[in-house]
Amino acid sequence: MAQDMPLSQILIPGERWELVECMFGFTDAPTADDQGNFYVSDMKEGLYRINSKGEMAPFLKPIPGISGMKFGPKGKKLYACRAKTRELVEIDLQASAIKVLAKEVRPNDLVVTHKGFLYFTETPKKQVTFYNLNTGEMKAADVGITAPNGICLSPDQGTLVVSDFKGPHCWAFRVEPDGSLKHKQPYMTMRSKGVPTAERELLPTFRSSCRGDGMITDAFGRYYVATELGVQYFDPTGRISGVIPGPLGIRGMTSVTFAGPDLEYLYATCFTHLYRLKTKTRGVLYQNGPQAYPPKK
Amino acid sequence: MTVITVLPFLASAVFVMAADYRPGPEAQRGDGVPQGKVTEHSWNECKAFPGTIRSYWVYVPAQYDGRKPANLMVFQDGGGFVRDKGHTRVPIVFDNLIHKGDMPVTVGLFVNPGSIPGSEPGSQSRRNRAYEYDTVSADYANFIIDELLPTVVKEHKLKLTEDSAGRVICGNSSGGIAAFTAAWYRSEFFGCVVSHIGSFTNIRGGYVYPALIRKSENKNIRVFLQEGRRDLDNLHGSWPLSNKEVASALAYKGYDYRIVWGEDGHGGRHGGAIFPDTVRWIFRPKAEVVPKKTPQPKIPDYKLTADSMPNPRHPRGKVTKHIHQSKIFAGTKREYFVYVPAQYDAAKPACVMVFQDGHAYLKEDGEVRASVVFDNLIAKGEMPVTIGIFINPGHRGKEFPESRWKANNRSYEYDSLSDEYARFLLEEILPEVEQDYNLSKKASDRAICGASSGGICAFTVAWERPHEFSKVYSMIGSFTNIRGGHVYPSWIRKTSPKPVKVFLEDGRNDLDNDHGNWPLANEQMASAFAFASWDFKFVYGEGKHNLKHGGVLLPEALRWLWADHLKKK
Repeated sequence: MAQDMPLSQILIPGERWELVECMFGFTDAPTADDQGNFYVSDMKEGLYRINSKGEMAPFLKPIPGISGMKFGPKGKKLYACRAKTRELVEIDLQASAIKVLAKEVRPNDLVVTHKGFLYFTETPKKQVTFYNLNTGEMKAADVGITAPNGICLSPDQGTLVVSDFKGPHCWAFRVEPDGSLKHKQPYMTMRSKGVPTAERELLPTFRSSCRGDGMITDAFGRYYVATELGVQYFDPTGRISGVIPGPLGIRGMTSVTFAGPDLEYLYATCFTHLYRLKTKTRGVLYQNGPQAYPPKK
Repeated sequence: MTVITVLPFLASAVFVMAADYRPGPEAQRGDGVPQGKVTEHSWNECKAFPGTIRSYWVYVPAQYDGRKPANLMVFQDGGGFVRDKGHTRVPIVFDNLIHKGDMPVTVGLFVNPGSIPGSEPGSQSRRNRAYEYDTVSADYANFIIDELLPTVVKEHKLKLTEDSAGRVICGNSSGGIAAFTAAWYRSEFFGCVVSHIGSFTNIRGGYVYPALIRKSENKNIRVFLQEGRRDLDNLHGSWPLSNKEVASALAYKGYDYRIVWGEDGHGGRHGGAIFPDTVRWIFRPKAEVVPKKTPQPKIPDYKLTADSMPNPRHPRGKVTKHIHQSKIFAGTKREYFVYVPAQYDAAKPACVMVFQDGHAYLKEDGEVRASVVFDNLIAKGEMPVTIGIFINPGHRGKEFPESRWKANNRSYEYDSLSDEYARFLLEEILPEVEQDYNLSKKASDRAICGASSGGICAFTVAWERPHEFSKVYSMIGSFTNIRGGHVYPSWIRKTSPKPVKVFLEDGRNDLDNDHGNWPLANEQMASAFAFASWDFKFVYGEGKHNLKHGGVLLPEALRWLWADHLKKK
């Protein structure tokens, strides 16, 4: 089947998780730009940038508490969830100025479409919230996922997917022209750990959740989610296609993203540690606009 | 002379015969055969799968008169089945067979999978085929039975049979497993299944059926399976092996089933070519299922080699016995035995090999004789200096059972899908032995072995802790559904390969019971290792569920597992 997407399309034999940095307090919110730069948040210290030469430096003035961020349309501004201060913020890269878009929200992670539609997960409220960057309008786009956490878009930006930290699924929605989300479906089922039971059951019991956290897509339309078993990915038709266990000895994985000169590195934020894995595939940058997938090479 | 001229012709003829399945005469229009009516429709307000749109077709035979209830046959990927030039040409076949009186008057419902179109130009649709067909749940059956069919019946003014034996569901590939799933969850409605090249693999969890069939009460369904020897072997599974496992489970439970094997790969042509016969079989009168008698197998007398016989020139190691009370398996105690080779030097970290069901391996006149084999291979330099730890399964209670195989915590410890046993070894047993001996902590210096549930346990330890244990010898391993072990082939195919070497042994006459079919389960493991490029070796004998063949192979397995150490020298 041509649409099958085995691990052999992702993994390069001999390549392993490579430790990038281990000095973080708590790392999350990885994202990338089209200049080969990688950005990440240390929840305790602020933002860092790693350039295409692998040099890491603090980015902007210290903004602690960011748990999710993405560039907006054309990469002009950075949008971020400040979980600790319960704010959704816009960061002007030139002026290094922070503008608070929404207060008293519970943002965890976010994604921004080329149209300026921003969606962020409010995990404790079981809600996905829509914020229109053009008009400032804010409203609930979905309510009901147990613990909505990671959030990503298909490369054509027509499908939005949300991971459930406390449930077995990643949920798919269709993005409507007005920004509302429709046709919610538990499209992807994540693998989770077995639970030993005293009695023999008809079938084995698995944990109801595998801590589905940050998400990203690649240029071929695969959906990636950070989980307690490692990075799990799904093909565009929602079929689980591979599990890439995390680096040895990590305590957990909070998010994943593609970055690097050709977007070929899969970065994983693992609490205090940041790792990356060189892959055969390549990422997609939502800020560059919708892209047909799979790419025509 | 003749050989030279004839051979190329023969070779090509054989090739054509093997792969050229075509619709037969019963799939051609015949003179004077009344034609049923096919109409095309769409279903765009779906409640079961919100947002989906799809086409469907209804075939009503010319002989249907509205007075006698008709049978029903539903097809997944209906567009492919309904076409006059397609792989199966169902309406033509139905016209011919109904005309001949070979099948009852039957209405055909041909349904395509749904898709959710993009909301704007340029956005791709969300394809729903795998979600609808490969999910193991009643959702798809409920959609057909409770949502679509009532409208079809109403719009076409149909009177359909109330007898589940007259209602068939059929499909190819994922449509095949969807047919089975529909009948499994709604057997009161669909009494018959036709699956061609069915995807009983791990696309969305469908690998569970052999296990589910074996441990569930029989459903009142008749099942026809068609499969090809060259069918797919990919990330989702091995189609031929998975169909074998389904057939084996149906046979074990005494279902009215049939499997027809062809030579093709993943296509609809073979199923289409035999379809008229399939329809005759599926609608035949109720038949009593006579269990097939399997002939007494001829099992070779596996004989131990010289490596398993005491050799007076080789120094003998010492074995000591210990009792351990576990914290992780709270309330259990067990004996374990430590074998220390004569060559052990406390200044050098020794390699380690752990055996489950330790009692079974140490008898010097037994079937495995591990200490004797260790003595011989270490003396000959065919394996490194290795300390053997032979651990019995845990038991709760004052007295150990006479047969230690029956220790009451054995299945929980060995068969569970979890890292508890690995932690038990790494946090309790190894530290205890390390107090007395200098053991290497490198994964490449640690091996683990077991038989039956001890075999899957050995694999589970390496699966959970590949950076602690890198060598596994599994004999007659229970990769079956005692406690979910049938999941491993699916997990192996969809997980980054682990740095573990596995020597897998089983016999063709191994167990076939409520938990699974051991030979097929081990074939599934070997097939998954091959697909995922693991370093493994599979030795398939003729034996039953005992240690004979695995015991004879122990020296070979040890040489193979420890080969990396010998190269270093």
